[in-house]
Amino acid sequence: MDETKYLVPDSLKEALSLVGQLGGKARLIAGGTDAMVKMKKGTDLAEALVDLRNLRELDFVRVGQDGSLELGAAVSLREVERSVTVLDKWKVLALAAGQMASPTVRRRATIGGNICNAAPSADFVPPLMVLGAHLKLSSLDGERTIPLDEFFLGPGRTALGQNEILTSITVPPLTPRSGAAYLKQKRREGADIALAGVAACVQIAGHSAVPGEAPLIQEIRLALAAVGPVPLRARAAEGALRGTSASPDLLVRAGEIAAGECNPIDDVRASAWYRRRLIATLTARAVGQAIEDALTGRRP
Amino acid sequence: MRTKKLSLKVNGNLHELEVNITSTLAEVLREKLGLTGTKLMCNEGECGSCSVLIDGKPFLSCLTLALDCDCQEILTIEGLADPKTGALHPLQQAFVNKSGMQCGVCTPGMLLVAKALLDENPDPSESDVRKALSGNLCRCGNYQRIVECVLDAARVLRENPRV
Repeated sequence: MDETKYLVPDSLKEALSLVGQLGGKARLIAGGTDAMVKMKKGTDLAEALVDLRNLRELDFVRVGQDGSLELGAAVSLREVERSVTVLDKWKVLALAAGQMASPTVRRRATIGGNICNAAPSADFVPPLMVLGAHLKLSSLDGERTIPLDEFFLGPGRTALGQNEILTSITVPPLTPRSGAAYLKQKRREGADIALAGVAACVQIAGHSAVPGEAPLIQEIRLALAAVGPVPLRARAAEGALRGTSASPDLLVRAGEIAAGECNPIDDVRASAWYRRRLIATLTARAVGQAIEDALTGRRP
Repeated sequence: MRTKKLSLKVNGNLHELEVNITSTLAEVLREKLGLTGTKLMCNEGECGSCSVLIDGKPFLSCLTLALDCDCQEILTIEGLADPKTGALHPLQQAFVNKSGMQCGVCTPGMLLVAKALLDENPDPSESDVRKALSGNLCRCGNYQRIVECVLDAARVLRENPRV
């Protein structure tokens, strides 16, 4: 990486102008926990590195006028994990961030980097997907907003244009009687990549919120990590649960449907067969936990 | 190869350096300053052996560009003992007393991450210690003793707070 040009813009405008000029020849680097590794291995040699570390304007956690959570792309995983705002109303995001990598890596790694690195196993993505997050992509020509669902094209490939930078992520507030959960299976308690992960977000009907009775699921979104080329929505499993009462049998059946619609691979960490079994189990559990969160979350 | 000037305060000593723009902090510490107590093992952020404190917080020096640390204060394992008396830090003493190290390669990183933990939380639970050290791998598998040593040192520090 000795011959690579290294550029450190001081503002977003300057950064956008650099990526505009360099086009596909530039690689963006924020926390560096993925990008530095790729550079050292020589798998991602670019003509120029554009280091975003001075762009403090992308480091913010705030609540917008409509009650949405707005996260700057340069916010670290550790900030998300500890943010009072996130913990208060979007707790699933804080919990997902806190399960990623090691504490030392989380201090550097940014949420924008985790999204743009486009690893199928990115833990922060499935919870954002089920919460209905949108990404703001900026270029010198202006801004566009796209649903997170449409951002991933393949492992390491995204809809981010060569002249664009992901600047922020917007997450709508959870509606009344909604709850969310993210479950991740790894090989050990310490830092590890997900073998499989499942995020669930449900909205239950008010009249069925009686202890002991299976609540009626009005709306549900499910997203799966590490079991396909990109983070996946489990739409068939969602369809099987939407409008039904969430009995334990039905949750198990929905888990099997999700296992059928994912597309895992065999690798050093786990076999495809095992990953499917994990998806079946984690899906049933994640929906159960999301319902529990909806019942106890006391969202107005 | 492009280089840039960098001012780095390491273990209390100010260094004015000229470094390659893509050099990592670990490379500069080890190769420019001869501070080889900072270990480089995986060199990709998995093992934690290169952990150092930057302005008191733990970072992986293998994933940190040296230029990112301009004008910041670095603490490496060479600076953990008392600079005047040479007395070991209670964490180091605990590792000596209870054999907290075997081969020793993970030890500098373990000690510095543990120091940052105790600076922030003087009375950690065993689980707090395990979580804080979860990014530091010990290939000898000496985790049980390492955790005990950190808890011992925490006790010593609470009883004799250093000035």
